[in-house]
Amino acid sequence: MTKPKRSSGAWLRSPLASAYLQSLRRELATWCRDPDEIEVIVQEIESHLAEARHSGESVASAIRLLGPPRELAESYAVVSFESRRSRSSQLAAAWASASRVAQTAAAGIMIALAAGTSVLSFVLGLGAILGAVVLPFVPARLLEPTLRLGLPQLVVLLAGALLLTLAFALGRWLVHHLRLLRRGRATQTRADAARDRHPAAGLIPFPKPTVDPEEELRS
Amino acid sequence: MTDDWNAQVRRGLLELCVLSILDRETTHGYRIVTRLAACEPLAANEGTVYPILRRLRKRSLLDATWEESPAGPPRQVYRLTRSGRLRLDALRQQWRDLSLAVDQLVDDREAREAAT
Repeated sequence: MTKPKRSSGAWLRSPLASAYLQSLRRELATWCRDPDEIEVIVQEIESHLAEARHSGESVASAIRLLGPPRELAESYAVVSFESRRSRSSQLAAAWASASRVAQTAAAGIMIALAAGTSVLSFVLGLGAILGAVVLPFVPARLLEPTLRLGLPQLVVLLAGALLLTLAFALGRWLVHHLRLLRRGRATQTRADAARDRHPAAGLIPFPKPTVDPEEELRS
Repeated sequence: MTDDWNAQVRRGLLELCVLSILDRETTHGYRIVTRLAACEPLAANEGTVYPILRRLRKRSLLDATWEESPAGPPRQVYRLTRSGRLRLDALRQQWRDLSLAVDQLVDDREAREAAT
């Protein structure tokens, strides 16, 4: 943005205004590292003082209404901090959203793997147990040689039992996490609905009480 | 405590007031300050207005250009952007909803007090 040339004659900066603007520049430099930004702020305040004087107001009165340079600089600092916090909160929100998607995707993959493993374990375990129980009674001539693993019956039974236990454990884990996922979505939906019911949320910051209200009423 | 509350409420409403003024006219900071000062309940510390203008500009709700001034140094003139108008519409609606809700609460309490 290009600034026009200074208008000649009308504004003669008073010593009071000069001192005020110098102090303001110094206070701004305590938190603002950008000299261009400091200069723009100081020039705007100088313009304000000039307009006030042009309107018939005294420079001293205009300075009093602006407030001490330190407080004015602090107001600008708060605004700058809010902008930075807003930007970082937007980034944080985006990161949180991406994390949620990644977590959901990872959870989905884990659930699919767990479900597949659970089903496979169940089938194998049941098959092993049935095989261990039934096979000794089936005549050898009816069985293909490959079906006889040569393992003791007890070992096959134990393996089957382990596989079934694994299948049930994975099944319980699956049910538990599916319930958690459903509950998490319900909580988020209730929070969003509550926020939507209060349109004033965020418009006016309610002051934090500095005294106990009951104590104040008693006094 | 009432003064603190009053100051907090005015500070919260300042953005709405500044955007409303700029909706009517493209103007500079001193004019905005004097417009606010003309409404006594809204008279804000002048040191509060300029940082708010800066914040609104950083959020692209306002545009600012320098122009010559008969008072001497150039002055920044502000105007609403399209985003600023959308923001103003949203704040206006929020203000209507809020003031309606508060009025209902306050009127309800006054009616009960009058009945007792």
